[in-house]
Amino acid sequence: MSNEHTEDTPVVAPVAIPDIRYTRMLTCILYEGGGEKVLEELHHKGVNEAYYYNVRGNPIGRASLAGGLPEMPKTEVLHAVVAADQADYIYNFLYHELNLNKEGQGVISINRLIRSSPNTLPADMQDEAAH
Amino acid sequence: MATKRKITNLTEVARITCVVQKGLADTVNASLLEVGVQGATVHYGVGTGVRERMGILGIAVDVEREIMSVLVPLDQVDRIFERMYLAAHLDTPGNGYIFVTPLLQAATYIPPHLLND
Repeated sequence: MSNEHTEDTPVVAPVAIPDIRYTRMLTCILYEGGGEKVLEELHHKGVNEAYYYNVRGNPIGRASLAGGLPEMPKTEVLHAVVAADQADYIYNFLYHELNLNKEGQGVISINRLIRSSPNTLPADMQDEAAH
Repeated sequence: MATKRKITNLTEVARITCVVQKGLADTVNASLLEVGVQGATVHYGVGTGVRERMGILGIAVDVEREIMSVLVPLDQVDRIFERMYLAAHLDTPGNGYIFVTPLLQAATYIPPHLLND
């Protein structure tokens, strides 16, 4: 019975650390905001590896909204980590969804990643992505 | 007379970014400091999750995140990646994710005794 585990020797399963090598990072600078809505739409497309944060900044040609007044920054930077084979599709989706073809809306860029892990969500939240 | 200034570029460097639940970044940073990895930065952000669904049965994943970035040598990426993954408990659903961005070059102050080595 030497293989039997007792309470003194708890079984600890080794953690399998993800090693995903073919991913891309999409970065959007959104001068008019809109990150929250996009996060939700990405979630419904099954992309959960996305986040945004507020920054200061104005598009080229727009110096300030109101001179002398405290700035209310609505510029956001959004990042999304996507599978390499989905990158073009998500890139096009974001470009059109965020109206980046219009003046003063923002910029999107894409770059390669070396390694990444998935953002696994609790089971009931995973289901929502399929809706 | 103007001092001659020069820039020392570091190559073979990558940036590891770890998106964790709010309040966990300090734990991850402490685990990096234990092995001598310094210079990590943290900022707040908003990620995927549930904004209002809280309750006894509903599992809520707060959308507020801490985003932690650290520059590391390319040959130590995997070791530090795995350390951060474990420190942030990223194997638990809803806790976050981590990724590595390659960098072409970076520059900072390098102590003279290291430059002379």
